[in-house]
Amino acid sequence: MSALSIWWKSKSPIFRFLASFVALMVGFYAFYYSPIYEQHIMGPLLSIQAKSSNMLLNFMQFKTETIEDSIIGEDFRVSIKNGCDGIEATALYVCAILAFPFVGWRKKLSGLMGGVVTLSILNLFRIAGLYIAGVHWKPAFEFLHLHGGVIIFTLIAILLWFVWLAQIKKHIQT
Amino acid sequence: MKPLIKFLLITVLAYSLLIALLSTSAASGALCSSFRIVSTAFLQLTLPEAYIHSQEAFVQQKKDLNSFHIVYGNAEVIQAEHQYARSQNIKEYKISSHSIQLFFFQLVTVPISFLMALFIATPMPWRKKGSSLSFALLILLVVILIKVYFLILYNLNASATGVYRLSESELEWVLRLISMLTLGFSVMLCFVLWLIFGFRKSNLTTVFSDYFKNMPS
Repeated sequence: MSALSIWWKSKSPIFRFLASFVALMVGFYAFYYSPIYEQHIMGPLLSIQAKSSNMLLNFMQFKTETIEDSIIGEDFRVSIKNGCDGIEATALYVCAILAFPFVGWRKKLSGLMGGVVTLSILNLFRIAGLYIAGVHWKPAFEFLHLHGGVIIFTLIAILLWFVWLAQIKKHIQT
Repeated sequence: MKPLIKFLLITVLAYSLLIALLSTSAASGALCSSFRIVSTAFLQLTLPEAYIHSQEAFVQQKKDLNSFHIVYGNAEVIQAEHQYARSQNIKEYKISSHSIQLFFFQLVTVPISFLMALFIATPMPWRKKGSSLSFALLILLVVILIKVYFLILYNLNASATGVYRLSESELEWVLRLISMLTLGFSVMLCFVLWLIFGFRKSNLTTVFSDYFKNMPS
């Protein structure tokens, strides 16, 4: 066993969780702002988000269409940009699960699948909601974009992580 | 689970109250002008070859309490312009300065309110909470000031002022850093600062300790 491995195992689980979480978040940001992400992933991902939110809006009888990362209606237009795409909050959830020690990969994977799908669906409602706010309640758009889009969405990611923890605990106790 | 849900609910409540409180004209005006003084002094200290000043912002002739302008340029050139105007006894003249507008609410109020709300909701002794929050706030403020620094550094180059000239690759890095330091990044940083300075020292860790006790090592 290497000295690093012995040192790592001698640390408290809380320390190991925090250190792994911070390292994973640093890794995420390095990738999220890398040329590879910006040139090959960002465009298609934002376009998929716009198209999916547009489908939701069409289902709600809004006459909207998409061009790349924008949802365009008669009176309003929403453009999804890097940093406003809900990816950072999703990354927080993913990193918090991956960093959690002692839990097997199978449980982590099921937690990741469930949480990421939930956050992705909520994100579509968030984007569609912002469009609706822009059409019907313009003064509230910036407020909802800032507080609902960033702060509340981050808190939802933390809540989902807590839910996953509760499920793990329940599983261990039974 | 109960203490964690209680923590989240108090965070939302505290955040809402802080935003309401800090949005009042008295609070936002005082905080914005304090930040304006601090950021101007920081920029003057870190970019001594540049001309750095700040100005209040106005919207329809009314003072905007949530934004201000940073005026920048080449200190040497502007000094020469002043000297020339004095020697020629010119009372009104234009200097070669440029400016950018900084929006205080997004840049400072939102992340600071979020960080404070996280600490307020954390179950830990108030004295410890105060000292940990102060330290976390200081780090957050430094990161925000670094963002402002890179913003001015980029603009000094974009406006071709002739000071702090960067190569193309350096400029690309600065631009990448600016695009990275978004509100989303500030919020994630708040969460990490809370994990390190708040959560780690709080009673919330006992909830996690219960988890670890039951885990096979």
